[in-house]
This record gives sequence, structure tokens and C-alpha cells, in this order.
Amino acid sequence: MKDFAGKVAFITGGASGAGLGQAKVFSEAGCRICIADIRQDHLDEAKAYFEEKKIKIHAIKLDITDRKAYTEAADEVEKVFGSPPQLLFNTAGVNAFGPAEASTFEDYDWVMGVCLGGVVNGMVTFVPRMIKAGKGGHIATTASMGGLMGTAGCAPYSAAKAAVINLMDSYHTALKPYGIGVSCLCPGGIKTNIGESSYTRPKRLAKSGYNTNEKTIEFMRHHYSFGIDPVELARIFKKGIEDDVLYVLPMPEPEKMMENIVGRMVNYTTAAGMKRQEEANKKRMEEMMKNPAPMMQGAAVAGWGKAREDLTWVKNTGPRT
Amino acid sequence: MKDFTGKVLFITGGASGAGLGQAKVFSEAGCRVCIADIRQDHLDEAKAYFKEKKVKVHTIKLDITDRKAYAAAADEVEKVFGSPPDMLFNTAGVNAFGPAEASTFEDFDWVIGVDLFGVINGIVTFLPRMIKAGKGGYICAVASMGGFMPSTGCTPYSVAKAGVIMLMECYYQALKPYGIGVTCVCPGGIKSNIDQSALTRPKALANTGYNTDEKTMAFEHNIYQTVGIEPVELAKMLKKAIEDEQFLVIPSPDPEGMLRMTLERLVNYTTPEGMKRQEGMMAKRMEEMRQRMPQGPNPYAGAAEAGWGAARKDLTWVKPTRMAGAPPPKKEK
Repeated sequence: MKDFAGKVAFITGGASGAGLGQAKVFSEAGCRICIADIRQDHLDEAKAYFEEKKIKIHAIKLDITDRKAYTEAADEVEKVFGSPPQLLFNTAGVNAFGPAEASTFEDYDWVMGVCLGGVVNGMVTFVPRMIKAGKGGHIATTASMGGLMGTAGCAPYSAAKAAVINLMDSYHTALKPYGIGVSCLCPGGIKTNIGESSYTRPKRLAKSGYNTNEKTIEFMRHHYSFGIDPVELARIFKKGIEDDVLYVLPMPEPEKMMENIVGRMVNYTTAAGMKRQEEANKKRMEEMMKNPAPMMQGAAVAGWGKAREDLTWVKNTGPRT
Repeated sequence: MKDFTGKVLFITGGASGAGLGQAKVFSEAGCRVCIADIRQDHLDEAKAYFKEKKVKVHTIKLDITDRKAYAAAADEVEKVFGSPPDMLFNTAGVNAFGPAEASTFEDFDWVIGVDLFGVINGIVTFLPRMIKAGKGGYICAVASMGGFMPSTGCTPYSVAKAGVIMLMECYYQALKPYGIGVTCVCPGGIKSNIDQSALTRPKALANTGYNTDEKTMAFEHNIYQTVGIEPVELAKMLKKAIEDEQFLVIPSPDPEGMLRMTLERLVNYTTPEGMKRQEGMMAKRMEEMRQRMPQGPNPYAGAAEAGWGAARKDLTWVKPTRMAGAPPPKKEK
């Protein structure tokens, strides 16, 4: 997609962070924007921001795991804008950190419910409407580097993002005959408030195996402050969408990065490769220990990435990323 | 893990197909086997088979999406065998074929519910018990090459399997300090009953966007029987991988080459030039794939006539041009 003028863009998680960055960049490019977000305070802030800039946007309070509400939001979009969106940004996401082995059903249900189920809900809700409208379009989903590399410290998130990456790869081929493009953004950290996502965790899924409290949340505010700027990220994404690139990796050498990721999986397929990979991992870990990243400072003191204290059978191996 | 003697092994989907193959191979290797399966008829058949062979197995009827039942099954294992399993094989799986864009919430819920959450349920149920038992052990999952590939014709399945592969990588790293190994098996097709999985689809999730009937099931059955690997052969490969503590099992003479070929698109898909490269590559790879297919009639020929991989008939907005889930049939004659 090259021309964004007049295009209706629906952005989940659009009232802050990565989604707000997209709302800024794509409204500037001429899109008519609808932002959906679970947090009313963020929606109010975003509305005030755009009002001051004299940019018209529509805001909907939406929990993307609520399919009925999602359908109503889609109806609202058609009513307000006169058509389904031509651009769907699946951006909303949450994360929770702790040892994989401490993960509860509820840790999986919550993180996968939002990060994977939320994207599925967006696709099943909007794709048939977009196809029937016959105007083509583009689907732009924010996944993560975490979906390309498994980490022992946020298993539900990694698994959800890997599933989303495959979902986008599949729809990328499936939607070509309809003139609907698909791009999937795989950033590292973003300067967002994903560290606060536990505030939106529903009560019925509160039971976590991880240590999460104000101290760990404060650490994550510090951690993600080193992330990429949302507006800069949205610009990179825009370029990827214009070029019809499927995997948008916001880094200088995306091919090289992906080569490494693929190489790791290939190594896992033979006994000799396993040895090679183990050595590479060890070397990387030593490098990391030698030069601890400033973004990781204070992780241990905050108790970030640890298991819930009463899970005494979990080995405390320190924060894992 | 090198010595399987006396090890308690819990296998989901263990009464037929890939799981039954594992039950055969690992009982022979000395494991004390507990098979769990959703189908009572398969459990009865498996019981009769092992009885005749004078091999003792324990069987449990289990729907792996039912967490309460799963916890009860875990309790039963501890009661019968005197300890949690040393080995957990997450093998049960289902599939459904149809165009990605026709997929309903229920198609995703059912396939992802069994194929991804079934594995999560197994691990969350058993892993704390295994760690607390302090004997180390092994956890396997049967994913699929489909998890490394996009699929326009069985999207919920490839999505679920991609999730499983990543999940297993996370646990592979996490469980090292406990002496628990992790292996993920990624076959192409298996000679199994996965074509009958629609028979176990719950009524609450019956609403599908795909065309599924007796004809499509028969068609699919023929595909798996033609291109699928023998379950016992696959189980032997898994056994070797467990002995070597190898994370991925790709049943191919050249697993590295096979996976590299499958994943090269990830690299290409990151740049505009690569996107173009990949287009050209696809045709070439498809031809190579066809040449590797077994001799004899192409099992994918006749997909259109059988209506296999098509959308539900009333979804008239779905373009009917694509043979979902299958390479285009060879021009016969």
C-alpha cells in the first residue's frame, strides 16, 4: 500500500505506546484514524493530544479479548466512517515475566488471550468485512523479536508472538488474491507502558506464578525507557507497508538478524548443531555478563523475572531474558 | 536421557497414530506406559493390542482441553505408578482444512485449544509435579513442519504448531537446571487418524468456515496414508533424539538442509528485494517438493472434486481458486 490518503485505519492499543505512535504517523499520512484501547485514561489523553493538533480521530474503549465488544466496535467503525477499515493495526499487547516452569494456566490464558487471541479476534472480525467491501487494504500486526527466539523468562509471550508471526505469514499468502497486504512488525523493546500491562489483567485471571508488584513494574518502566521511540517505529513500519514487506525488523541489518534466528533453529536439528549452538549461547551470555546492559540494571534488586515467592520448588537462577 | 528402564511415560493421543507408535517403541525400551486418549474405541483397541503382546499399559480416557480432567489423570498416574511421570509426550493433535479467510472463531478455538493449549495443559499440570519429584525427566511435544511454514489451508493448525515449537524452546532452556530434557518433533505427515479429528470436535465449537464431510475426510485419509511417515519409525527417531538430548526432530535424511530451505523465506521476507527473490523461489521449491513426493498417483489430485480445503458453501465471498493446504495437483496424463 502506497497511498494512505483517506484510508480508514483501526488501531488496537492505539491510545498509548506503539499504537499511539502509529496513530500519529498514519494520521499525518492522511489516514482517518480509529483508535481502540482498553484504558480510558489513555484514550482521554490521546483524544486531548489530537484535539490540540486539530486532528480528527475516533476513539473506542475496547477489550480485544471480548468478541462481542469487538463486533460492536466493527459496527461502530462502519457507522462512523461509512466503511470497514482498509488498514487494520493489531498493536495491543501485554507481557508478564517469570520463569517458564512457574507459569500458571492464568498466565497463559491472559498473555495468549490478548497477544494471540486478540489478533485472531481482529482478523476474524474484520477480514470478512474488508473482503466484502472489495477495496483491498493492509493488515499490520505488531509481533516481537520474542516470537522469533524462545526465552525462558516470558514463555507465554514468546509462544503467543511466534503463533502470531505464523498467523500473519499465512494470511499474507491467503489475502493476496483480495488485494489485501500483510506486514508483521518484530521489534525488540519499545518505549511503551507494556510494563504496566498487569494493571489491565482481569481479576479472574489474576493467579500468576510470577513475582509482579510495584517494584517490578517500576523496573520495567526503566527497562522499556531504553526501547525504540514509537513514532520512529511507526515510520519504519510505514516504509515496510509501502514496500509490502512481510517482516519488518526495525534494525539496520534485518536479513543478518533473521539469518541468526534461522541458524539457531537449524542447529537444533542435529547433535553436532546442538553443540555449536550451546557454545554460541555460552559465548553470548559471557559477553552479556561482561557488559551488562543499562536497561537490565536493577532487575535483580526489584525481583523482576522471578517466581512467586511461595513457589519454593522453582530454582532461582536470576532474571532471564 | 539414555536409560528408559522403569521410567513412567505419559502419552497423550497414545491410543492411535503417532502416540501409539511411541507407546510401542518406548514400552519395548522398558518404559512403564500410560496412554491417554479422547477416543474410547481407540483405547480399547490399544489395550487389546498390548494385552496380546503381554505388555502392561495403563489407559485413561482424557480430553486434554479439560484441565480438571487433566489434573485427575495426573493424580491417577501417581496412584497407579507411585510417582508422577518421568516422561511426558504431548502427542494428541487435531487438524481442520479450509481457506484462512473463511476461518471462524470456533475453528481457531478448537484447533488452537487442542494443539497449543492441550500442550500447555500437559506441561502446567505435570511439570511442577515432575520438578518436585526431583528425578529429572523428559518432555516432548509433537509439533509439525507446519509450524515452520505458513499455511493458507490450515491456518489455525500451523499457528498452533508455531506456538508449540516456541513454547518448547522456552522450556528447553528453562528446564536444564532441573535435569529435564525437551524435544520437539516436527514431521510432515504421519500415517495417523488425524483425518478423523472432526469426529472429536465438541458441539460447542461446531461452527466452522470450512467444508468438512465424509468425502473430505476420506480424501484426507488417503493423503496421510500416502505421504505420512510410519508412527513406529517416527517414534524411533524421537527415541534417538532423546538419547542425544537433541531439541528438534525433523524426519528427513538432511534435517539441516530441510529446515534451512523451509526458513529461508523468513530472511527473504525482511526486505523488498528479498520479497521478490522469494516469489521466484516459491515456484522452484514447489517443483522440488513435487519431485520428492512418493511415486504413484498424486494424493492431492482430486482435491477440488472432493471439496477438500474449500470454504463452507454459503461463504460466497471466499475466492474458490486456491487448493488450500496442498501443493497444486500435478497435471496428470
